[in-house]
Amino acid sequence: MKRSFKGTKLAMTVLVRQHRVQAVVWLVSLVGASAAAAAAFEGLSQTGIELLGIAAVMQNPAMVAMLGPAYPVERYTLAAQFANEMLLFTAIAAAVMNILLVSSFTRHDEEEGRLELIRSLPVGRFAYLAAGSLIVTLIDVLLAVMTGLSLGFLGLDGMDWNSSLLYGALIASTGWLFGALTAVLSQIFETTRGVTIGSFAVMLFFYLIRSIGDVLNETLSYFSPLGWTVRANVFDQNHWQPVFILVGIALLLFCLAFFWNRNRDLCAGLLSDRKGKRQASSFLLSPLGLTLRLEKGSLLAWGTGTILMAASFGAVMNELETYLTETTFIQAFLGGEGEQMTSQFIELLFAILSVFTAVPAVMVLLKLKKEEKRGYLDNVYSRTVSRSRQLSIRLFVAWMASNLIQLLMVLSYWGTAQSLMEQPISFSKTVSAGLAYLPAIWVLIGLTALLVGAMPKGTVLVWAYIGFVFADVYLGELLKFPEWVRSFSAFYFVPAAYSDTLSWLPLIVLTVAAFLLAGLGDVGYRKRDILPD
Amino acid sequence: MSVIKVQQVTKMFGDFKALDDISLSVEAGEIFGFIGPNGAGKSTTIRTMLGLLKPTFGQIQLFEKDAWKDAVTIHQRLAYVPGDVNLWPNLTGGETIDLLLSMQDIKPSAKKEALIKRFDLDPTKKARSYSKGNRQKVALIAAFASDADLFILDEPTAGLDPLMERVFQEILLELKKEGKTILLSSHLLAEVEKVCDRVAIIRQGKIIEKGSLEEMRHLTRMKLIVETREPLTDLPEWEGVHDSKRSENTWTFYLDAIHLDTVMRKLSSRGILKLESTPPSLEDLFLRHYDPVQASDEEV
Repeated sequence: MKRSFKGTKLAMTVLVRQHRVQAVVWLVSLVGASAAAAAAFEGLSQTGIELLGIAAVMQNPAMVAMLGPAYPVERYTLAAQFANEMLLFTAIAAAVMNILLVSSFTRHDEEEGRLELIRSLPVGRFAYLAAGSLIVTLIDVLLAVMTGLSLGFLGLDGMDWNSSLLYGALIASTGWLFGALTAVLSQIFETTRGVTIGSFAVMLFFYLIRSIGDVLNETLSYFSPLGWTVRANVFDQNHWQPVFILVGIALLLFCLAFFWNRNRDLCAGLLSDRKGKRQASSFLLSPLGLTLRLEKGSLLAWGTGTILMAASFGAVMNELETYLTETTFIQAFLGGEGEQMTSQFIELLFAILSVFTAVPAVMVLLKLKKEEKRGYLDNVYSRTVSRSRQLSIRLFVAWMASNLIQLLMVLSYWGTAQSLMEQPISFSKTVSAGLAYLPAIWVLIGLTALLVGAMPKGTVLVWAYIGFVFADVYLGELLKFPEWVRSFSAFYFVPAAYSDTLSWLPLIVLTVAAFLLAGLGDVGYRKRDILPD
Repeated sequence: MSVIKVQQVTKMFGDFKALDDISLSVEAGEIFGFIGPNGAGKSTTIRTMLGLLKPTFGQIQLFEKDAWKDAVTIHQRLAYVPGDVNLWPNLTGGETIDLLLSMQDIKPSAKKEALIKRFDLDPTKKARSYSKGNRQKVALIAAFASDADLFILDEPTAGLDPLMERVFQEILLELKKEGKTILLSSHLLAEVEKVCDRVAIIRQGKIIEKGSLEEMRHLTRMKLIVETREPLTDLPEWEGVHDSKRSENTWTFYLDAIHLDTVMRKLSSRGILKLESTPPSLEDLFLRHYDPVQASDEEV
């Protein structure tokens, strides 16, 4: 048994050497985001009555569906507000980090043949998996401690050391659980893509049943790890049990990963490939065929996820309606502003979901660089295919995909809301509020084309930019980001189309900007070297 | 007519000079061998010919058109097999071949089916599960099934087994008969010797030798084994003699081809009892040019 783990240290060195930058960037951004948000909350200097207002807004079922159960109004401290706004999404971000790191520690290295090299050395069967698991554990421990310490030092009203450390532990243990899940899926799927898409799908599933459970039936939420995360009631009751449960389940999952790893061949999965076609179909040979064939999996997965999320938020709209008419306290507090609460929620929701719509479209373009680095494009550009053609095919697929996903997202939201609400929301307003985000999404696509075309070494910047756009959408208003900072986000210029009449000028400007960016990308792409790794 | 014309091409990657003032030309209908050690710049030269890389200085013309600007037009008449064949992992070999052919507007034909049989490829498997050799077969079939006039093959046999290597060489000679032009970069000197008309040798980004195989042999050394009646004590000092070894009266040494005449006269004056000569092989040429120690000796 001990021999199976021989060489774990060596494997750890290899992994750390390969991924140290990535890991440090993730850690710094996650800890930094929590610390910066906490500092910004502290600077808000809200009056008691303002805090009460926010507490009341958080009680509404739509917000509960998005962020988890609200804190009791009578004990709503600044720290509670912070946890309410930040905990779930930061935990999800930590889960994303864990999924990406673990899949590259395990299946990716196996798929690329690096594991074969390691396994040919006097290294035990489990060494690589053990090394990957240990490193990700170490990263999560650091994440927990650093987040806990930075919050403890900041000490918002309502934060003490115990609760700050609990907050860090919640984020890290949630992330770790999804890391463990990814380790299991790495044994099942043969490709890295299968592993990551599978892990994200499971995460989305858990998010959705938590959403529905938190609003309709709490029992359902107990079937989701994310449901446990938000039930620790950090900064109020401070339950540590969810952390122990998360860690316990993660340990079990890691054991399962090792168990399945033991009995399979190198490079094999538990689900394996079937035989394929002898000849290419005419679809594959058509101009968009190859790109659609290569991208359909991830487009379908992301699109379905986004649409499902929209539909489930639509489903809680009638709860919001009931809540607004029944709660006299809220009515007294908001006056006649119930309508405004609905429209604000719709606009925030569409902004967030629009980021999700943009992600698969951006990935379609980033794949062009990945294909270059892997050498696939040598097969293409040594034939009678021009670079502009290839780039414009990818741009077209990304553009069409974003339009389609966004449209279906809006329709599914409206559809479920419509079927459940007594006084339905306006169809035309909903659709225009959703589609108003399209030009801003196109800017993200254009920016990606520019980076891939003219600055291929800097393509990671597009993720940093999307992170910034998301932070601005989500917190920019609340934390009063300065105007000039906010104006860097394309989404900042999207007009509020639900509460207001639609203004066309910003939409036209954004569209022109998107085309310019893509055009510059094309110019750069035609001029540069095509270089595989 | 020169099908490929490379004129004083230099390619910089940042500060690194990958190609240093390279010139060469490949004539219509010939098989041109391009040899050199790993990292010498063979693939970089080829990628520049394909318009994948832009020369920092100099010019490359294929079919008398600019390799960078007119890449798409040129590629109608060209087929390329990369040294490292990378294929979309979830397409089958058969799908990939059809796809690659369609990128040159070629419909799958009986020629393709015949080649799949000849190379013994299972086209129903996903590229992910192919070995290096099988991926190479896919690229070779796609190249040979096209109707190109120029074939650029970058170490195409590195992953093939000897049987397939022979099939490959047969096809090369068939193509030559049809009047096609072939640029073959290779490590396998035996292969280059067997099929090539002319060769160029590249080392550290510079072309250090080029010409027909005959000319090359002149430049190179032959191996001689000699036994004479009178002892040859001073042989190591003779001009053109290298690496001489003695066992009793028998000497084994390498001789520069240009000194053959003078050395033979001197030898016959000592009374030759036995003389064996081995013709110069590209192998020796290769080693002489690539071994950094020997090469720097030469320059002194």
